[in-house]
Amino acid sequence: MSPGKLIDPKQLSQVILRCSQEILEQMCKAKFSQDPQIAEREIIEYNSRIRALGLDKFNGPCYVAAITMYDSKESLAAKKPCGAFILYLEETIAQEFLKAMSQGLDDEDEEMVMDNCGELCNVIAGQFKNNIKEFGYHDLVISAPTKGKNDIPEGVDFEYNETKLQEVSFFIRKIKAVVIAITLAPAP
Amino acid sequence: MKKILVVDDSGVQRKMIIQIIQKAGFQNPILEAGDGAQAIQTLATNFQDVGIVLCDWNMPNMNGLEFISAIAKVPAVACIPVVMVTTEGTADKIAEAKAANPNLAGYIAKPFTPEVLQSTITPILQSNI
Repeated sequence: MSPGKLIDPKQLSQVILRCSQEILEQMCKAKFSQDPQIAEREIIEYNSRIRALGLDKFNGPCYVAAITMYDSKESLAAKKPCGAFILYLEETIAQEFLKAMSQGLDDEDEEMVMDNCGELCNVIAGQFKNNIKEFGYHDLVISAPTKGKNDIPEGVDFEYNETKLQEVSFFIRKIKAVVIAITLAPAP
Repeated sequence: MKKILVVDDSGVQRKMIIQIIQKAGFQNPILEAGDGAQAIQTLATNFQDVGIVLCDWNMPNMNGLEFISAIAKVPAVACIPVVMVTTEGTADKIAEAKAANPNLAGYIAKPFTPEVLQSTITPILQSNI
């Protein structure tokens, strides 16, 4: 990818924080017990993909969903990503979110909780892509979500030259409940 | 009674949509597909019975836009009303979907409320089924 206008990591974090907080409050009825935390982390890569290890984020099991981003349909067809978006949900919080989002579905099993985590990831990423024209991305294309319990074993495609992730953590009942990690290369 | 085809890679979303339809009082048989390719297979054997398609956009294998574009080119199914139910909610994307399938009958941006889904599909179901 040709180098474009550099993305201010703080600005990127603020956009993702804004988009995700709104969705989590509206769709999941989340009530946060403290301000979210923003951090920059090194990308841990394996086989040219981001390792998405949820057990690193929480003191227990969790659900993970990820979406890969492309700057255009052509880049999607060529499998040249410009970024990645990963959502981690602490296990009990993921179950609560399913109850809030599903509006009364009674057969809640692990597969459904994981599936719902993917759907939530999709909705937040969709909201995010509608709010990043300021970074020069006017037609960002997002993949369908991949999902897993505790991690995504195959990893997550991303723009390989990027080395940092912006990470936003949300707290519910004073525990870390939701972590959103994002990496995005400068727009071409 | 015509069938309703719900196309979404999320099983939870499909169940939620089906639940909303049934709570609204529609008792039509419902077909499900997890992506556009599955939906085409489903339509291949059920096309005479399907009265409406509710379709997500971002799905693996064949996405919603590719699916609605494909069915728009087949006369036997081109007239089936399609409602997109998707996170792709910008005016550009709505225009893109309309261009892909002129028979687009509705567009619902996620997240949505049951009321929005009901009010969008009810007139279509009442007039087509």
